[in-house]
Parts: sequence; structure tokens; C-alpha cells
Amino acid sequence: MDLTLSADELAFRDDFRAWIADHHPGSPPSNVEERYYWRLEWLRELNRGGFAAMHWPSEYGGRGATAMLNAVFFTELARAGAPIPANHIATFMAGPTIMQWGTQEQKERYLAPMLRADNVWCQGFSEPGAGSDLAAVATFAAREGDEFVVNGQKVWTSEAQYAHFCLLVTRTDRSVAQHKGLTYFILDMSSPGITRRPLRQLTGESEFNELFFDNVRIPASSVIGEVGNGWRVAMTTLMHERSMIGAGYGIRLRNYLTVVESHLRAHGLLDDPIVADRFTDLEIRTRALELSALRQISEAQARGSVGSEGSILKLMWSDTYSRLAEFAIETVGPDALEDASGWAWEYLRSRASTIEGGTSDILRNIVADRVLGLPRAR
Amino acid sequence: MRFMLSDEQSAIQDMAREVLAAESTFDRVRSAGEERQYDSELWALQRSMGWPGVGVPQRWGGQGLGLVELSVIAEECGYACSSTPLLGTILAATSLVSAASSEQCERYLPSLAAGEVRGAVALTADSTPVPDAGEAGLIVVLEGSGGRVSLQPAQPVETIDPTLRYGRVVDPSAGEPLNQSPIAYDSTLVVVSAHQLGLAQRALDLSVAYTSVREQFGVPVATFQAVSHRLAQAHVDLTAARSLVYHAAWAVQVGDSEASASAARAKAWLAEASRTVTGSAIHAHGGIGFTWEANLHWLFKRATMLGPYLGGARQHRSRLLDMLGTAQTTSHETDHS
Ligand SMILES: Cc1cc2nc3c(=O)[nH]c(=O)nc-3n(C[C@H](O)[C@H](O)[C@H](O)COP(=O)(O)OP(=O)(O)OC[C@H]3O[C@@H](n4cnc5c(N)ncnc54)[C@H](O)[C@@H]3O)c2cc1C
Repeated sequence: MDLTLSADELAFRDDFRAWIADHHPGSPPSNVEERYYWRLEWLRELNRGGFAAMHWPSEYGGRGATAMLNAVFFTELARAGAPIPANHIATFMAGPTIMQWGTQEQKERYLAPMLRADNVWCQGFSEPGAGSDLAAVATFAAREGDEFVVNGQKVWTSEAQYAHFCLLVTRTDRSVAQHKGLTYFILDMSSPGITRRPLRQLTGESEFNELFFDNVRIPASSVIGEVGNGWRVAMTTLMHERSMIGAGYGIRLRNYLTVVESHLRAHGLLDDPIVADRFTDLEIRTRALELSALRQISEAQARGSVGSEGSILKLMWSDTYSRLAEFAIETVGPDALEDASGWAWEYLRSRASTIEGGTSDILRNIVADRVLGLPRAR
Repeated sequence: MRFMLSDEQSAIQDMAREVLAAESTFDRVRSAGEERQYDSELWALQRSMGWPGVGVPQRWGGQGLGLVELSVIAEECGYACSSTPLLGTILAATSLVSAASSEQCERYLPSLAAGEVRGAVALTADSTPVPDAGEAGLIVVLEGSGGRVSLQPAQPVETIDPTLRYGRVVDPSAGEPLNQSPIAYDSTLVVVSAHQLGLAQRALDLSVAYTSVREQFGVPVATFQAVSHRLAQAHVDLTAARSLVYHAAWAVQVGDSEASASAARAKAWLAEASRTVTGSAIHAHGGIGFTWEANLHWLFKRATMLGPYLGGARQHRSRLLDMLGTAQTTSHETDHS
């Protein structure tokens, strides 16, 4: 047990801290689209500094960094008030999935451009009839020679409005058990037959979209990890997604907590013992999440594999985030609910946290089944 | 950074779990509780293995291990809900190691480390029944960052947890003064929190096992989400608990700047989580859970008793807030300099 940073970790931290100080992107634009491109530019800048995908092996342009070094990376970003770079679907989800399941040719073609932000990626998993029950995907890819022809619909596809490629889960065989008939593709978003429509979220902004496929042709060389193996490939993507949300966003929660704390102190609100008690409970939850991320990284490193722990971190994150947002609204007072206030935005945005990346109910199922080993009903 | 037990620490944990699984069965816990007497056979065994002196330096007859190892032992004793004066004795020894003069150490530690004298730790400003004080030969009374060591017997108190002998300090001003040492209090908070973690972990493990085999409506009850989600949430809360406890153990052991805050967080969280999880386990067992024979109540009762001991959740949150305020001022100062 040693919770101090190792010499390597310290050296990296100091190096990166100094680098951010020189390259800080400043404060975010308020428009959602401008904000996206601003975060994409930040990815390019990080890449020029060699920080875009620390956890990737060096042969693909990363640093072969340990998950722990990656946690230091997120901690330093948060500490400096710098954003998480855009295109995380590429760097944290598509990249690792292609590294695990892709062919040599696919790795060479897709990985390096992700880091340069030449390509933006989106995740086409959810459908109107297949959300929590991902295996029920109905979008169909029919084989025609060395191509597949895709028809169907995806929904809640974040960042599809900017995307060049999509991680697409489709059905290719209706005659076998649901999760055995799935195939995972890389879809070129410039292919004919794709319609993208932004969906307006309860914040008023549009981060996510719906996608319609009308006889969209995908070359068979774009299958990731074999026809019929889509379920397992999708699980790889989801495991990386939850770890990233849990560790990456979890570490960031501290910033929000600090903003709330500064407000409370500046207005003497912590003199109210009930407010003080609730705030401190949230501080403990935030610290517990940070520490649990570090502990799980240590354990995964020792074991040599990522497990279902990402689900636990994601549960802690969404729970603490929602509580903190509710607490802020209650204690800051009526000004917090004005339309343009940052408090209102966080409050509204936090409602997505228990849904995106697997709902909290689904994650509790995962903890029950795979961590506690309870018998399953479904 | 490596936030997990070392191989040696895991070996201590495995050994303790194995010994207690054999020698501190619930039958033994129950008969100790029913007779309102410690399990003397188990206490003799714990003494022979040197457990009372795990955290005592070797020159005073102990094993000289750190707070992490001590927490591992305390957690396992909680897991077994064992009925011996070990908790109070290691708390007293630990606080003396950091707050006693070397002359006092010389005088008191060897007999505590050998388990010849049983100890307990109380807070002055507190009438909460003190575990193991009922039959303790030595009581450390902490006050602020100082305290006293007293040989005056406490007033025994019968509580809802008859597996430990509780007591109240009669005269907090009796005995000799100790040195100032915040570590004494922080260490005791960590050890008690670790013990509470063990109680809760056992309750969860029992619930997982029981609900996996108990059938209703033709299926194991764990297949109902109302049941499995309750247990999944308990696991999430104990994940947080484990992170807080072992971070605090490490931080206090190495004198990290976050040590006191971390100990306060651990105690605040466990004071509530330990009671909630053990209580939840009773519910998950149905009617059986409410019986004397089901044994869950021993865990629940001890978790309840230890909640307010050495300060409850609200008290530690309030302490933590003061520490955070100070930390904030300090870091602003350094930012400007
Ligand atoms: C902001 C945001 C961004 C998103 N981005 C993407 C994206 O980029 N790509 C993508 O593919 N998807 C994305 N999603 C979709 C997200 O993954 C799904 O919304 C989620 O998996 C839930 O599916 P659903 O919406 O169909 O809800 P449903 O599955 O219909 O769930 C409805 C309710 O039923 C509960 N429920 C369902 N099944 C069970 C069960 N077995 N046990 C207990 N309760 C159950 C759920 O918890 C929920 O409360 C995004 C969602 C949001 C909110």
C-alpha cells in the first residue's frame, strides 16, 4: 500500500502541469457547437504535446501509460480547470476496441487520425427498441457479396452531427439467439443513405441525434471482430466507456464541489449546520469516488485486466453528481434557477448521468450478477 | 501509486479470516453474548498469536506493524463479530504508542501487548458506552489532541450488544496526563471504522449467500431486483467504505497531510454505512433475519453501538468541515506566495 505518486508519476505530473499552464485553452464558449469544436481543438493541442491518448501503446501514438498515469492526467486536467478533450468516443472507446478486436489494416487506418482529431467518432448502439436491452438491436445488415446493406435506425447518438465514423452494432442473423446474431461495424458517415437529425435535450441543447439508414453500403472489410461476434465487441466498448466515465468524470466532480463550496463560504451559508452537514457528506462521497477509482485502477493493474468495476464507479459518479446538483440548486437560492445560470445547466445536465452509458438500474444488475455472483432472473 | 494491500498484508488478512472462521463461529459469538462473557478460549488464542500487540513496537513486546495491518486485523474481528476484548485493547495500545511518554510506554505497553491487561479508549466529552471498558484494566481518555491514562475501573453498562463488555468512565480527570498527539485520536477512528467495515461486509456476504438459495415464487429471491439491487447498493457503499478506511489507515500511518481529514471521513461514513448495511441484511433475510438464531442481529447491534462511539457521523462531518476550511486557507496562501 503506497498512495504517494511514484517517481515516474510525479515526473509526468510536473511535466504535464507545466505544459497545461502554457497551453490552457481558456474558458469555454457558451454555444454548444462552438464548445464542441473548442474541445476538439484542445485534443489537437494535447496531441501536439503528446498527451492525447496516454493509455494507448506507443506504436499507435500513445505513451503506453498505465491506467494510473491516466488518472494523473485527468486529475491535472481537472485541477487546471481544463476541459476533457472532445472525441473521447474515439480515444477511450473506439481506439481500445479496435486495438483489441481490429485487423492490422484497421488499426493502421483508423487509430492515428483519431489522435490528430482528423476524424470524429460516434457510438451507434441504442435504438428506439433497444436501449438497456442492447441485444434487441433491429438495424439489419444484409450481406451482398463483399458488402453489407444496412437499414434501420439509431437514437441518442451523441456527437453524430460532427462524426466521420460511427461504431455501429447491427443484426446480421435473425435465426440465432439475440446476442449471437449481432455484428459490429465501422461505418463511414459520408456513405450515401444516412440521415442525421439532431434531438433537442431537456437542457435545450442538442448533443445527441437520431440516425436513419436507408440501404447504406458498408464494405465487409469494415467488420470489427468477425460477423456474429458483435455482442462481445460491444461489451469491450461499454466496459471502456464506464471506466472512463467513472474515473475521468469522477475525478472531475471535485471541481464542481469546489465551486459549490466557494459559493457557500462566500455567502456564509455553511453557518447553517444542516447545510454544512449535507455539504460535508457530499465531500466525503466525492473523495470516496476519487479514492475508489485509484483503488480499482491498482487492482485492475495487478490483475492485468479491466473488469466490471467501472460499473461501480459510474454508479457512484452519477449518484454523487445528481445529489450535488440538487444540493446546489437548493442552497444557492432562486438565482440558481435563472435560465442562463451555470447552476441551472449543471442541475439539468445531471439528470442524464443515471441514464447515459448504461442506466443505474442496469449497472446494479451488473454488480449483482458479475460482482456479487447472485443468480440472475432474465 | 499502489492502493491495495501488499502480499504480506493480504496474507495477514487470509490468516486472520481463516483462524476466526474456525475459532469464532456464530455459535461461539452467541454463547458469549448469552452468557455476557467474553470468549476466553478465543482471547487466549488471539493473545498467543500476538494480536493485542500487532501495532506495538517490538521493544515493548509487540509486533511493530503499522496501522494498515492493524486495520486488517480489526476488520477481520468485525467480520467474525468476535467476542473478545481485542478491539479495546488494540485501541488503547495504539493511542498510547503515539501519545505516551517513553516511560509510560515502558510501564503500560508490554502488558497490553501481551493481553495481560485489557484496555479501552474513551472520549472525555462523551457519555457513549465504551466497548471493552466494562472489564478493562487500563483506560485511555482522549481529550482534544491530549488525554490521560487511567487504571480506575469504568462503570459497566449492559447494552444491546452483549458480545462486548461496555462501560462508562467514572472520573475522566483520573490518571496521568499523556502528551499531545492528534495521531492518537485519528488512529483509533481508523481502527474502529475498519472493525465496522468488517461487520458490514459479513452482513452483505451472508445476505448474498442466503438470498441465492432461499426460494419464493419458485425462484431464488435474489432474482428479484428489489433484493439484488439492495445488495448491489450495499456493495457500492462498502466499496466507498473500503476506500475511505484503507486510505485513512495509510494516511495516518505515514503522517500524510490529509490524515486527520481522512480518518474523520472514514468514521463518518462507516458510522452510517455499517448500521445501514447490517440493518438491510436483516430485511433481506425476511422473518429468519429477525430471529435470535439468525445471528445477523449481533452484527447489527455492534454496528449500532460503534456508530456514535468516538463521535458519530455528524460530529465527524463537522470536524471535517473545519479541517477543509483550514486546508483551503492554507492552499490560498501558498498560491499567492
Ligand atoms: C445524454 C445521453 C447521451 C447518450 N449517448 C449515446 C450514444 O452516444 N450512443 C448510444 O448508443 N446511446 C447513447 N445514449 C443512450 C443510452 O445508452 C440509453 O438511453 C440507455 O442505455 C437506456 O436505454 P433507453 O433510453 O432505451 O431506456 P430503457 O431501456 O427503455 O429504460 C427505461 C427505464 O427502464 C429501466 N430498465 C430497463 N431495463 C431494465 C432492467 N432490466 N432492469 C431494471 N430496470 C430496467 C431503465 O433503468 C430506465 O429507468 C445516450 C443517452 C443519454 C441520456
